[in-house]
Amino acid sequence: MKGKAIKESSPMFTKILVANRGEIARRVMNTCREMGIITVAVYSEADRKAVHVFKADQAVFVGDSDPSSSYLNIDKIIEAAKQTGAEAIHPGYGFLAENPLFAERCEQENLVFIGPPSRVIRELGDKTIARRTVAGSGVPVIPGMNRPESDPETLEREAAKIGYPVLIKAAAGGGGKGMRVVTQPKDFREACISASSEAKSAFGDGSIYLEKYLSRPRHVEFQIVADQHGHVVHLFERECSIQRRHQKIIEETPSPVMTPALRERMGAAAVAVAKASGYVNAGTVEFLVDQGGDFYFLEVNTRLQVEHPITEMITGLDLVRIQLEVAAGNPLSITQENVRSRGHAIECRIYAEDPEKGFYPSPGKILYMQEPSGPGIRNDCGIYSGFQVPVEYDPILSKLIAYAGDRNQAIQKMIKALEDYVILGVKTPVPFLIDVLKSEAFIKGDTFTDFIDTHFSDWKPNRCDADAACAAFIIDELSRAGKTKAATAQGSADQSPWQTLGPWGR
Amino acid sequence: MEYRLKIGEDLISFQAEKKGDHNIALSHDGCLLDIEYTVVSNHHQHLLVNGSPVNAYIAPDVNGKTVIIKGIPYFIGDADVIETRGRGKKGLQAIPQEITPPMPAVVVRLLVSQGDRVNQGDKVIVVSSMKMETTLTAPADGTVRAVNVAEGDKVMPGQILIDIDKDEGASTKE
Repeated sequence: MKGKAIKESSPMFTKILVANRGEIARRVMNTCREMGIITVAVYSEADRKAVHVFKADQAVFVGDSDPSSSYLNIDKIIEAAKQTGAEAIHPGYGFLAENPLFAERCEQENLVFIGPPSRVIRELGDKTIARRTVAGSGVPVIPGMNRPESDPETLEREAAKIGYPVLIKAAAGGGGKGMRVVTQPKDFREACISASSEAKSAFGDGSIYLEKYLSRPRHVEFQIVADQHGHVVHLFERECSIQRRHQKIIEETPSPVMTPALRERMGAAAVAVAKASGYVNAGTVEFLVDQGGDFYFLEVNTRLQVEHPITEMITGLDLVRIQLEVAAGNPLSITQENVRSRGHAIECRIYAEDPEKGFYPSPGKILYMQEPSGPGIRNDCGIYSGFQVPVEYDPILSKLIAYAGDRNQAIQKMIKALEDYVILGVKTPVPFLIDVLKSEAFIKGDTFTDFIDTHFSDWKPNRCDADAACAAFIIDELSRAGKTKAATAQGSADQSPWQTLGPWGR
Repeated sequence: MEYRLKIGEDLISFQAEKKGDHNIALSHDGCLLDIEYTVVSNHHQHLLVNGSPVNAYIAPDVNGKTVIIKGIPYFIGDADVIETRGRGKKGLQAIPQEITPPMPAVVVRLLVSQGDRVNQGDKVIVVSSMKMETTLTAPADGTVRAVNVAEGDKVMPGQILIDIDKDEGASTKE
């Protein structure tokens, strides 16, 4: 028998399947390995050489490159877990992470889903149900409708009641899909039709509802963790206002807009939302903060967020470890009183995309890379030199995180790290991010969701080292010409077609 | 030796003179550059440009080479090579004359079949790259001669996905 002094604890899992790919799968596996948990990766045809396959103790092939045949295929993921004897599944973010059917299936199959119960995912996934739940707990919601509606006349009446500009949103929404801003009544009906059809194709559900459109808000979210014993703790905020195509690209914590009083009120609201919804495990409560400093509930993300590392940096906590402890049934080892935030952390998302061409995707082969390092630098990375970045999946390559004593130092550290980050073979937003971080608006903390449109709509990098770049070109020509003579016949498997085309010069 | 390099929209002629194993003198438009260099690897050079240290990272790309210095990419091509490889390969702004994806992608939906009549600007095919869908349109009025791909196919820039026989004088709309 255990003595009274020993805290009762549930046994930790011995084997976990990670139902994701790339940097997040790798990140989850890192914590598992630290905890002595055996990891199982799943991979698709396109990901045979993906980094998460190499980092796992076991890897199961689950199907074709198309996500619906592999990472989104519930039957295959469950089968992989059964076949390998995994006791729990970590869904990462994206793919099946917020799919209530998947969580439910895990529950039925006696596999632990490392996330909230399926009921909670379902209720918070429907934005109108979430709004009703939250409004009932006394947390401010953006003025608008609490039920989806399809009748155009009712929608028009509601829009008039809310007052233009209004925002049309998909009830099943996320990622900016099915979202439309309407500034005048004459455009309203057409916008409803297109929003609904976009929502239908993105989520299989065309239900829409209306919210008051807030101009120039900030996007501020609170990390929460909740155990199965009714304890809920918030781990402070993350400011995520710098977005392109409604997707975050730079996040930081603390938020430049935050005051201790506002943090206390918003943190309490986030905890209230979690309690009202019966939340368990790690989650994020998103708010919009308007110019007057009032905040409104936006939605709950029922998963580990892409930007979770900045919270880990300032709190010193490992959120995946907390997720695993909670999923195993253990109570939180932290309380609201003993959680401390220290310093400032910034994350930049490094996507395979071209910042000079509207952030268009830029898949391809990584020909060379050099990761930045140094005190306070963390790079959660899903690629390596020689890796072919697949066209089938999200273009995120890595997440670069800088941590320092205060905001200015964190900005300086991030700029230096970005300048040191070399990725050749695909285009990345690195030069764009450098300019954002150097901009007066960012340094002042004037970060609103329209930041990029306002300050960087027609951005080009300042190419002040063109002479040196041309010199490098010429030296490359000369040294290749020398080498070709020396080793013409020597073929190399990792050469790209561009290399095998031969020297360009004379 | 002379190098005519195209960097962005600029064309710069460099006179290059090798001074030693690790030293080259460059000049353009009255500007003199003394370069000491170490080729660290195929992708990394350490330079002293008029005495100032520079780390340059380099890789071949579709139009020449990409050089990254302090996080900023420079896209540099040999102007003579670019010219001989043919003109008309303009940027995305110009109306494309061929139906080809702007980046490596997967065919999501075919919206036309062989023999279909199309008008300039009609949507003909949807491709997806990294979860972002792009709809390609007919460059001119005409008839679909051939559909060269199927849904699910991986396609590359430059690959003609759909052939269209243009009508006589197709650039004008009736």
